[in-house]
Amino acid sequence: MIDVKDLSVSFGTTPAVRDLSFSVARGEILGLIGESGSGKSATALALMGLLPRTATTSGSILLDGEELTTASEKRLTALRGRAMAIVFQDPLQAFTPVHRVGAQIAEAVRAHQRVPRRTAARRAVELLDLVGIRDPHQRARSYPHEFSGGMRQRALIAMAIANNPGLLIADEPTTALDVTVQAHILDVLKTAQRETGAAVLLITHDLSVVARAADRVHVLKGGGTVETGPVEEVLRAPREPYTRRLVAAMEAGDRPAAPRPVRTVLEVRDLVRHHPGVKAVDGVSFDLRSGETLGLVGESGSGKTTLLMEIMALARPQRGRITVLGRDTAHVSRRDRRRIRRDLQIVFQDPSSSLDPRMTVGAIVAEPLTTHGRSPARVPELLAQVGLPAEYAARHPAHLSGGQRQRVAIARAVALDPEVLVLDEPVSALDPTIRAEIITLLEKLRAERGLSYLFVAHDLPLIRRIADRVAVMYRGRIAEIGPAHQIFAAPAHPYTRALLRASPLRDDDPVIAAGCRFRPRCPLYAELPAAPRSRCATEEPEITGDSGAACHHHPGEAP
Amino acid sequence: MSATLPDVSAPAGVPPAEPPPRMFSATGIAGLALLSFLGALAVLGPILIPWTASDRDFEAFLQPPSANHPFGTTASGADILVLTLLGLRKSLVIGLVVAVAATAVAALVGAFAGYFLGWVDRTLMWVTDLLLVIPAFLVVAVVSSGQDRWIALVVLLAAFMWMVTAKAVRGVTIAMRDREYVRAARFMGVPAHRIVLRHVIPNLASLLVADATVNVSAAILAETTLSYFGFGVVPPDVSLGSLIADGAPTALYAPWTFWWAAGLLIALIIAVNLVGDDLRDRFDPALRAPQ
Repeated sequence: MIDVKDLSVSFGTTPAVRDLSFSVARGEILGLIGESGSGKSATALALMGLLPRTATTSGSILLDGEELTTASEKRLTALRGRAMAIVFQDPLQAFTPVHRVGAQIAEAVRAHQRVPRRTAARRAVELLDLVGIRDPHQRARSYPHEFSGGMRQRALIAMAIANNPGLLIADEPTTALDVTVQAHILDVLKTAQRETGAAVLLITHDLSVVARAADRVHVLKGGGTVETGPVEEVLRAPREPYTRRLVAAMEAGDRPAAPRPVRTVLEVRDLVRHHPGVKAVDGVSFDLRSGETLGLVGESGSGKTTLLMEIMALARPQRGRITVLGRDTAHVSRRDRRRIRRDLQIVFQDPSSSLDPRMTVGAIVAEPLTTHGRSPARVPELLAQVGLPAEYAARHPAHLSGGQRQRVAIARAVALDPEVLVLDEPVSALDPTIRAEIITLLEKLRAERGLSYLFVAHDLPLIRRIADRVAVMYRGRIAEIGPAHQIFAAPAHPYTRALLRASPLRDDDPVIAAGCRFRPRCPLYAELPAAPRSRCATEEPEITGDSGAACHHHPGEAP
Repeated sequence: MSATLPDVSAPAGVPPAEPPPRMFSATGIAGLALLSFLGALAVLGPILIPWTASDRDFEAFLQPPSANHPFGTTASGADILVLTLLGLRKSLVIGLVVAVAATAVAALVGAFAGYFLGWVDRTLMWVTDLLLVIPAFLVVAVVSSGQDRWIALVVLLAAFMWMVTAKAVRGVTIAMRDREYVRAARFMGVPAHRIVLRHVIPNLASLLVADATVNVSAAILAETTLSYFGFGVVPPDVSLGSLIADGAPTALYAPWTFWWAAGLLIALIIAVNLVGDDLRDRFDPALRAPQ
């Protein structure tokens, strides 16, 4: 269907893609995997003919025998959408916010086919049905912001296949989504591919996505091909060291159990934080003991970030109690609060937004020191500890790489020798190899300084590697909490099980007023006989005793 | 907690070196040159010229440019060159001082209102709205006509120029409150007023510079307008505005009484805008970062 030969793309003097050759047959899914900067996106843009004017291209791209590199803009416009279509990473940006979803899909149909409005609208509903949107008639009349992330991604796939394209390019289609929803979207993508018989080019940085959906895989690094072959073969026996590293990163094992924790540094009891209309945090309790890492996992919207912000605010919570280092945050003076801040620091997800772009690295790392009346003379030492040369103190964050920026953020967080470090997805914005470096750094700092980490992540292999204990959040509550090896080896809550297996769960469920909030998506609930079911519908499950799972029917408890 | 890490970051690409500070663009250089030239002219001109503003040449009434009077003379025999340069001096000072003052007030009011919200915000925005609905031109005209000191005019002009910017700054600040680097500072224990001064306002610099530039032109034009209508700068002081007003009746048959002042006003505003555009680009970290 598509045949790429010796494709090279360069922006000015910087080569983005070098002598890339691959082909995708009709009905086949090729996974194109690589880190950012490996040339994946440039390849996608080259195929669609969407590269900026400044780019120079050589080589050949044949779509169904037609050369695209020399095709006129007019011809390309005609081909886009009809012969080839693309699904972007961020579906919110791909939809116009002021038009209804159904209308936008119908518009895509009418852009390439002369059909009456009515027919196009009917086709839009069919397409929404095909990608698994419940109640498609109703949903076609919704606006993009009324859809969840997963539903938007489905709708985008529906739009892409509206004209039965021969080639479907999916550029990081699941990166912005949660694990359980990711699995569902990949299934939808496969369905769409079966229905249209298209050739699919699946671009991603996530090997597990490729493992789940693709037939063949093509590993890219620095614009060139590293390895290519059928997915099972490459995953089972990677030939190149780079591929081996990627596969190893995916299959990272358990971390050894930590030495016995001594005292509780952070205690959260029945914490509640309701925003108007949203129960963001709805009764959460956990302890963090000194020297341990507690991993906090959950989908976006499960309340992880709100929970962290409540802890960091050190204010009186709406309900419940937060105790940091033995002090109840509801009853601390302003001065004590500042003192607690020395011992409780945070590292945010994206270092490019957590560092003030106007300040130099030196000033950023010095800020906590000067704020608390200490000498900034320690800055070079701190930079050395996070593996940055002292000369970097004079640079601005914009002139550092992503990994280096996160090192700066970590240096700032440990500048005051805190006891507790809150890490809000500290590596999810980084490339896999850089990610491993930062994790190594964090583990080293923890061992050296006896830090306690509250580590939020949605990357389960990572949590498995770094955490001693794991808490799984769902809709503002903790679904299950326990030692990492137990959670990973014998998950008790059906949600944890789905999360670990990355089994598909529906993502468009309604909010539940009473009873178990996981009920609408729960695979266990669906199979239960009527009598035990009623308990799920009426009674909110609590975490009881040593089981650690908030489920009425987990194994070990009689149904 | 001592030795350097063995696994010093070795990212795929060589880390980009801090580029040298960007040079001024061609238009920026042109604007800067023009502005410096006008500034030098305004400062040095009146000192070097043998005439003063109050001198009258009783042998030359309403004469076109000549060797003795390169810009010509007025109907009362005053030298237009020295008048124009004195007017330029006044307009330049008023424009710059008013613009800087108005932008500074806007930045402080907007940032504090937006950052603190609550009653601070309500109070500051009430004052802002109040000043917005007062007919500024009339107030300045009436109040300043009782004053013959130009500094009073500066204060009045600045007092009515900051409100719209303050509202824009407030809006941006509300969005910036939730930026992670602002949160990081808050969680570090940095006092709120220091967060505003150190993190919020510096990150508004490109907006503020753009605003100050517009304000220089607006202040000069406002002063010109006021002076044209006989308020603002009053004799014996002169500004470009009062000169244009004085020259307007004779502009058709004695164009030198009008066009020198008008031309310098246009040149001044163009120069300020060129420099401002360039400064805004320099202050914008997004434009400074490597692509």
